[in-house]
Amino acid sequence: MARLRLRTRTHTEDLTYTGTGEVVAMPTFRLFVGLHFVRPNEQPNWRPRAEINQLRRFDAVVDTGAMLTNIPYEIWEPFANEIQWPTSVSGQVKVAGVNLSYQLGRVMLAALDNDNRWMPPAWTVARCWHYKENAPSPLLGLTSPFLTNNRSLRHTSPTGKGVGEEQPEWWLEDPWW
Amino acid sequence: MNRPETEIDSTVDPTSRSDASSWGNHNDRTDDIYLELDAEGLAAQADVAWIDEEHNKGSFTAYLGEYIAVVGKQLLGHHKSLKVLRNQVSQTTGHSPSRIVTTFIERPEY
Repeated sequence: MARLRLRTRTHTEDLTYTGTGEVVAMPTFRLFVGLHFVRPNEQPNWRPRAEINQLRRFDAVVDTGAMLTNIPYEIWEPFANEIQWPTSVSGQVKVAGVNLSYQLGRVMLAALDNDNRWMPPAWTVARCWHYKENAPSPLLGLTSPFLTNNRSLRHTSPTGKGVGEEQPEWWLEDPWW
Repeated sequence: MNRPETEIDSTVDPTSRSDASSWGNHNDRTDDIYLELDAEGLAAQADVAWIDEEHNKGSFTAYLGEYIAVVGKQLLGHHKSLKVLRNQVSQTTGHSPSRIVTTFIERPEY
């Protein structure tokens, strides 16, 4: 079984209570995964050798509220010829009040974590955004085939005992390896 | 129910799992697949980890909604356009775009 440790990023937002004016620092917690474009003709056991081409790597939020993976234009455009465009399916989605257009593409993505673990490639259907500026951040949708097909997300109990080390670890697991 | 962590089987060479017969064999062992990276690759990976660390300290709040570029655990630039950022940093520092680690600093409200 292959595993990949998901990365965590936090923001701390200051929330002001109406009425009292009290300001409370509220942390938000997000899971990230480092994704990697893989050429569609590569074998499932293909992996980068020696160096990782940073043009092929991008960080994405694991989004439990997203059906599909989202890839901004500037990230997918250099690899447009490696993306399968099965139909001319395109559409628009309103994000943060802005209508953004996209085309659906089938993308071969693998992943790597900060300990150099590699999760073998899997096809993922993604919204490839046409919008070039202020596009939404890259997202890995929860129902993406990248996260399904017997793959599972699991968390382990917190191991750290110090302040700030109390977060659980999240893992992506693939039983077929 | 919490499942106990399984030990990594260090006797298994992860690069040897290329045989087709490995497909479909469910197992509960953790045969983690590790990349064998050279010094340059490891340095880039260290930059990714550094970005997460600094992000969690709040070091990048000035760049919300932008991409940042890092090499050698140093922030080398930021821009809304990934393409512009890579070109700028590559031209000013001489680093190859394929070495420059970039990430998008997400706005917390999204």
